[in-house]
Amino acid sequence: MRTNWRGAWTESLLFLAAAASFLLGWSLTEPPPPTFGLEPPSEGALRVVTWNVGGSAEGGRPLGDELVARVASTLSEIQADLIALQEIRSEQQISQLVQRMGGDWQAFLASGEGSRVGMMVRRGDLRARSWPGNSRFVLASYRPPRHLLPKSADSPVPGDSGADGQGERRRGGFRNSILIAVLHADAFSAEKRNQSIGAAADLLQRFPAPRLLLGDLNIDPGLDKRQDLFSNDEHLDVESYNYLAERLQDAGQGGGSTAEPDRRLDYIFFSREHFELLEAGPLKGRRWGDMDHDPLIADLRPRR
Amino acid sequence: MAVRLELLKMGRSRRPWVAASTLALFLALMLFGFYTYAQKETGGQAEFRYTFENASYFNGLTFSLYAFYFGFVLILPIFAATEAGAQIASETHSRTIHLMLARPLSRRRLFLTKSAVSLGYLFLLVGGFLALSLLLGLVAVGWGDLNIYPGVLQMTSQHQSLPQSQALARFLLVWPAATLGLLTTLSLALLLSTWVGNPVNAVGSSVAVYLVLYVVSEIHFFEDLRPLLFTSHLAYWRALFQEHIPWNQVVSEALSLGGFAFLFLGLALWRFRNREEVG
Repeated sequence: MRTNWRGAWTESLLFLAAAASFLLGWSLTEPPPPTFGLEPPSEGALRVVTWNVGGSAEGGRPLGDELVARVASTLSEIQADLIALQEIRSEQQISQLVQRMGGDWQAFLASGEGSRVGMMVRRGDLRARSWPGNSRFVLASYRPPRHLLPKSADSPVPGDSGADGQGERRRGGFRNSILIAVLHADAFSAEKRNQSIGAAADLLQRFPAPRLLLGDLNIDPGLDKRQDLFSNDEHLDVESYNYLAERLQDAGQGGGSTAEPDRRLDYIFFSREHFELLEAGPLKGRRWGDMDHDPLIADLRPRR
Repeated sequence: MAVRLELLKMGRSRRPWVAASTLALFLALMLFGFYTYAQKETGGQAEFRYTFENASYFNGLTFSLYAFYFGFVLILPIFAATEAGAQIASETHSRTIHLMLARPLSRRRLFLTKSAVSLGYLFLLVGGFLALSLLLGLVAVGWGDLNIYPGVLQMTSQHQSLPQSQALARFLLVWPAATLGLLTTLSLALLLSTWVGNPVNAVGSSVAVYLVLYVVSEIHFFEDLRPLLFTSHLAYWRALFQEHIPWNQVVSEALSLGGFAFLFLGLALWRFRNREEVG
């Protein structure tokens, strides 16, 4: 009889220990990362947005004309200084966006057919060009208002003689500007993604100017998810990400997923010597129809 | 006396030697794969691509981490299940359970003794595997600093670099942490061992349940289900290799695993105490 009681006690103890462990473990669980709020950007911060506005229907299609008004309304609410868009269908769509957002925007759309990348800036001066033969890659220089420019962007480079323009040439014509690459990497080939991401990273790295790389990179080296369900070469995607992360800082790190299904595909990378990250994350609840990406927003403070 | 008897039976079963030999074979194969891959990547034979991998990345500590991780999720659970699954089911199958219970030994005591012996075995097996992988890494590859990159074994969201001495200290911490992870599989196998009358069925079903839960916990479709599965937390020890260990996360997941282990052990003891020995 005594042994029966001991057995019952031991059982109870084990069940109690299980319950206590579960409760304590659950209480220590960290909450999911907060999504980006829509407060105005801090004084002196550059607000940057990247958004793949395409849809998932028919294996992926550009922005539908019926959604332009909603996209414009969301972008107006975000109050960004610089917007990178992927999967824009036509010049007409980007003109409509500018018009609906108040008109004081400069915009650029990559040349080509089908799904294209584009960008918009609200203040300052934008110079952009498409990568030859690639409607999914834009390289731009953006000269923002002076208070949004990192100090090192207008300081002489070592050996710069200043007046003779040598320094300007050494910078590749990007003095007082931010150099920006907007990229929509291939969705189906890890090899093509590796080539485009690596080439963009190398291209940016050639210049000492403040640098941003924005876009839908279609890679997700997540912490606890099997990526091989989505990639034809998981390891190559890991290599692509790390090649880029060694050169630029990932603003959206730890901010959670930006696309369906629970994947972080959209990125804002910045040169850490020129910017300080204030806040970044996806804005949730702004997908309509078959849209499958959230806008990813980052507030960057220029280092002065 | 009961412990000595259980240890003697374990030694005679040859299961520990099979486990040790298999793990050694696995390490040898891993070493071959690691060595040839590193040679290819750093010897100019790789096709051009943008990569972070270089000669200093491929060192003995990286090898040990890779080997231990894959051994931990794919091989060690099988041996944990084999040992624990056989504990009570083999006594039931050979009917020696009647003989054991005829002695002045309570079912509770017998169960706790078998559980403790299995746990001790698991602790030594994990430690031995970890030590052997580190030793092989040192002798065959050579140690260095440990660099971990995002996406590699899904361990970190940003580049982590640990000096050699710090990395070795982290491997030491991983020993008890990984044993706790495997304790869940061991407890599950003990539970099934009290239900099934044949050790082959007990071990087979334990391994099958583990694999099903492991696969489910790896697939994103089951996002809502994942936190409820012990297999989702198993490799929580990977966080110990971050420069700044996220202790909150580590303790939270360790407690969840402890909860599963206690639950399975409680159910196993309940079943064992209340079942009727027939035949």
